[in-house]
Amino acid sequence: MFKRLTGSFILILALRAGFGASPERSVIQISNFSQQPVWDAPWRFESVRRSSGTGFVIKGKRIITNAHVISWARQLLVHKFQDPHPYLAHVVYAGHDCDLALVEPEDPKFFEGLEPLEIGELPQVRSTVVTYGYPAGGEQISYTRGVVSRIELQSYSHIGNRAYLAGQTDAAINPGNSGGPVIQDDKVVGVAFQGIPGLENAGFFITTTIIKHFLEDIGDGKYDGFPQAGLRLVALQNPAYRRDLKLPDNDLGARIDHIFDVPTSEELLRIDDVLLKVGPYDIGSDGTILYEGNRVFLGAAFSDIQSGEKVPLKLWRDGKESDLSLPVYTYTKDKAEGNQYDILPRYYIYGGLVFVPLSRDYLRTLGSGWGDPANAPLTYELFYRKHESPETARQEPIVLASVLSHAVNANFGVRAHALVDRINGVRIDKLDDVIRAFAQDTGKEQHLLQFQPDHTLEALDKKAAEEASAEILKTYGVAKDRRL
Amino acid sequence: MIIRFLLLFLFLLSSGVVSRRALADEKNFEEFWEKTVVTVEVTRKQYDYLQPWSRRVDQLQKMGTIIDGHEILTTADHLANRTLIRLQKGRGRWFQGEVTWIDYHANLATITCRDEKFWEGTEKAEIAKVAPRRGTLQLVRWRSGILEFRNVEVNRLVVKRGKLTFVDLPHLELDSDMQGIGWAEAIVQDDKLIALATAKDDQTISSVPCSFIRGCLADRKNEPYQGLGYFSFVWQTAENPDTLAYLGQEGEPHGVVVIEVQTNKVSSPVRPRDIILEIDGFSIDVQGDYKDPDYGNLLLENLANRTKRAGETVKIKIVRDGKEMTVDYVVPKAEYTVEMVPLAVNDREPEYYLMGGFLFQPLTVPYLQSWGADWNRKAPFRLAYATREEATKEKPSYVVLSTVLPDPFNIGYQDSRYLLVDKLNGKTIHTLQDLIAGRQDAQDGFHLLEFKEGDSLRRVVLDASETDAATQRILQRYGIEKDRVLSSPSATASNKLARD
Repeated sequence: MFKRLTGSFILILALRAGFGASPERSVIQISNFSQQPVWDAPWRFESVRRSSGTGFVIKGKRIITNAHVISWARQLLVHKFQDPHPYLAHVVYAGHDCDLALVEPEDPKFFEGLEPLEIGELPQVRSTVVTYGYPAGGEQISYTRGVVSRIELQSYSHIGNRAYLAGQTDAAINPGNSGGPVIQDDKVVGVAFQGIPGLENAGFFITTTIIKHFLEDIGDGKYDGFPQAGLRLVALQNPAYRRDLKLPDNDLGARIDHIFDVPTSEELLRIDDVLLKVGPYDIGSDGTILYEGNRVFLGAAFSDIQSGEKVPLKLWRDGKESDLSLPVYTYTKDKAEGNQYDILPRYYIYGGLVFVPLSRDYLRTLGSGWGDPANAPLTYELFYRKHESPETARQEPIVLASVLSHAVNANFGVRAHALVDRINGVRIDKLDDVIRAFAQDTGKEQHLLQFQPDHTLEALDKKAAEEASAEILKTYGVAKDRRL
Repeated sequence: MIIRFLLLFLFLLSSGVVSRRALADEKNFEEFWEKTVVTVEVTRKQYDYLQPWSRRVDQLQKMGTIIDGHEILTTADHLANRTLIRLQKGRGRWFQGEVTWIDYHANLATITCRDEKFWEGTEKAEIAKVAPRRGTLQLVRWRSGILEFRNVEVNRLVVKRGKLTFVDLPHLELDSDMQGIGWAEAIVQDDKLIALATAKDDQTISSVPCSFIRGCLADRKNEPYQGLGYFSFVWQTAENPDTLAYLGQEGEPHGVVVIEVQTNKVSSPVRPRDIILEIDGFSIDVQGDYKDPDYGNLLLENLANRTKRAGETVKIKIVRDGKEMTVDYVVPKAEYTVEMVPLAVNDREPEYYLMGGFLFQPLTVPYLQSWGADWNRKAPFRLAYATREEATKEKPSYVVLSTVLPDPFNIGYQDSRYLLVDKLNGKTIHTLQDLIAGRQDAQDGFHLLEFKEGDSLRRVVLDASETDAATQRILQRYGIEKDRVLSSPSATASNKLARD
């Protein structure tokens, strides 16, 4: 008993010594009653789910939190520290790529007596931080203390296909902590956002560089997102490769191994160009830069720049240095490869055949992992084809997600999870092509559909399908045959 | 004439009865099979495909059944890369054996023993012409020196993917709760061999049926040995009348629809969108089955090998563009190299080529099996996905960069692995031989190695003048005897034996 009291005493003292103010008053609990769409039956929604996260007040009478805390919200409630009254709130901005969002309570009185927390700088590794939040395991605010273990690029799991700077701490970060502030010297130095299953004593927080970028981005009233240069940059440490490029042996420079379909990068850069400097940062031969005292992958340098701005580059090409100003923009062509939010999934139903764009969200409905042999053709189509053979890649691969069974399609042999190749001879590159292909007059009484990868052929009686369409939609409770 | 035919029929019928009786009453069923079923001990080399120069030797035991001509019939399974075969009758001494014929696709082999003493006191089993479609059979095996007889119930004869091949073959499925089955145990009825067990899945034993065995042994007498064939077209069932109507078939639906034709190494008169109505005179139903005179409904794939062999012609009646016609289809030979990622590499050391620490290997299923039996889930996705790709003339096979053995020469590349090789010095790479040839085209003293575009490293540059010295240094440091093992597929032991 004595020991426990002593322990608590020291903790309280330490907290008081660390913080003159009371940041916990500005830390908000957020309840999200969300409903996600069903990606393989996009007119339906999952059942309503309640989840809880954290946010905190910043200047401008807004609450910042994680985008994953507020995604697919039907109703948001925000709760003040030790205040039983729930306040309705709505999302003002959501940056799903950087997992940050701004929430605004409906009632302006919410902010009475609340002081905004100030956003600080990138914390030093080994320095002490305290996380504030409402994690699982209790109803009251929780504080956990830890050190900043390291700062480097991490994959942001909310979007799934982006990596930005993140801090790692051994302060406990648990479900419910998401969106809560990580505080040092009364200032916010991060937003708690994710953990890694199986990794103990390691929680991750979004660094202030990313938070400031997000806040600056929305300054013009809309969120653009982080720009992407569309480059695969790799270390350049092999002496032979450096000699081949006539590059001095000075441990500087990362090589462009691949340029994705980003027009400005394709126009201005070449494979085997060597980046020596991005903005103010010299690039090491291992592909890292020294970013505010932390050795991190050079991708972090692009986080300083807003979409539409130019990033100054020093590069090595044809045996000499040159300077370049590279405009960078938000890249959306790979959105299907990441988790998608805010916009309901698109679909088209014809004769009970349900067509949806292939996406990471759709693949998740298949249950087993993407590497599962049954899902391999769709996984390849989504993630590999455009890199390996761009000439055969489709703008928006379309999947026959399911068949709403009816007499007209009872004999249709393909029932689900099949990539649509052609309909009535029209190559299906996007969802609009499905509608166009069914509408065209082929002079035949049947529509012919071809599927990949096995070239399966299935026909559907045109007249019967058209006559049955309304009845099928009614039977299955589908209000509209399409969402485009 | 009619009378003579009837007499002959009666004679055959009565001789069968006599045979059964004779075995039961006079020779004793158990004694007969004790002298017919033998234990085959196989010593063989096992390779670690991720370190292809490394090998170990293991030993296993399976069953063999003595047949006519001083030969022992067994399955081909586990006989690849063998170094020693020994034979044991009952609990007696071991004799050295020798494989006289093996067909991995058929999963069959024959073994003989040059020592005449081995054959003393043995009996030979007759291979039944047709497997029964129902009833109880006996499974015979030696186990810990005791000959076991267990009842197994005939379930069905089904055509499905063979254990060691991509070809669909007839299997006799039997119900049994016995464990540890699949080692060429004899499935017998009286003094007849009905099948050889190949695998057990849950309660079902798969076995190679007698009729198929007889066909293979008959083919063995051909010069040259023809081997199994297969149909190089992919079809789908035609249960959707709308599809048949679209393709121009009138009347009652039957046949199947061709959707894909393999064109890499074989030519085919059958084309996508043909409706196959008949093969070798047998009508094909919408499920893809034909009515087999011996076994009832069987998958059409069986007609590639039922009475034919690779290289022979089968007549196929099709509907093309609404018109019926008959085409002559030459059955292509089943060879592992037809596939982009060969299913097996038998009786050969794993091929590799080590260049400056870069270990290159052909992408094969045995290589992928380094990730375990569940390799198609656990192996790197892109490598496993290659098994789904169809080989073409332009892209017949893959070479994979398996790993990089660290050395100052390859510093910066040590983490590169499991990458499909695209080009060396601008030349497209399909084989290790392509790589070796590509080395001649170094530009300005550098090799440019390119990997297939994917989600990781694409290009590597190596110093051409230092490559050989680095290779020698790496061989010494890592205790590897040679920088390459290359073998020609035509020099395989199986092919040699098949021709003998």
